[in-house]
Amino acid sequence: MNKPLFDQLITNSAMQDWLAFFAGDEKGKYILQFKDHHIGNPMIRSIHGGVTASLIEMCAEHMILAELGNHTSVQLVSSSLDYLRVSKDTDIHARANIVRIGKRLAFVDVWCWQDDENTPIARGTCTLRLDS
Amino acid sequence: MIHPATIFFSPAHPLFSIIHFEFIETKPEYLAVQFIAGKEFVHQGEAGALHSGFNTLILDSVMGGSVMGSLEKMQPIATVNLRTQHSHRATINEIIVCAAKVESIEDQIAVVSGQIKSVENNQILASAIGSFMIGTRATPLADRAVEVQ
Repeated sequence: MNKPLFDQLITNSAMQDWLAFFAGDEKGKYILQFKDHHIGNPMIRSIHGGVTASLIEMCAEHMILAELGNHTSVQLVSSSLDYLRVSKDTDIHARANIVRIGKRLAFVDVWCWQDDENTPIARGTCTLRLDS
Repeated sequence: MIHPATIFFSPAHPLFSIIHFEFIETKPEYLAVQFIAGKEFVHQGEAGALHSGFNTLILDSVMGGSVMGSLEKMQPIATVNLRTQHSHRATINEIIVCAAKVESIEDQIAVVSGQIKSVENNQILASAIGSFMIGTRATPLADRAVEVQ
């Protein structure tokens, strides 16, 4: 899939606006543009774990839609998230990788980082149900 | 005694200033909070369905809040991991309750269970189990500039 089509699959929704969720510069890469309302701990200005979780879940959904096309409906069944480092008040980058797409389920891994991809702040595995 | 989560979840908090919530039950190791599913989190406009991330956001917050109530003195906490099963998405303006219980605390790691239910029909929207580290050593904001030098 070429990059412009990948971008087009980012449809507008209130949640995407709230997250400030954008496609990155290559397929599978995404950006959460930091906003003050993403703060979870005001004392250290770290991003709320639930915001990072939402980013991971949205990346996984988008990655499957990008692969299968918008005619497929995806619903998250489960997510398993590990928080590897304390986040800070800057953008989060994410890279999604499809582990497997079956007939009814898909599995996607997502890694998130801020300064350097080699020092990730979180990772997640999402299971999604596919409905044509 | 005031539950620490009631201080943390204040309208002054950047996130909770936009989420309508009300404390239902506060015990040292148990917390139940009622929320109204807000329009900011709608992902499927026609159905008025919120994104699954709203459930995860609420679970992480309330589960963390339950850990705060179990501590003898206020300490920073951080989510280590969170495993969530998503059954149904909340719909806009739906009233939901998120309840969380500290299952165990061992070596500064709290294991917490959490569940979100619809108030109208008692349907489970999501359930989770997570681990939280107590007494994290994140650098306070004021000290970060010194650390960088």
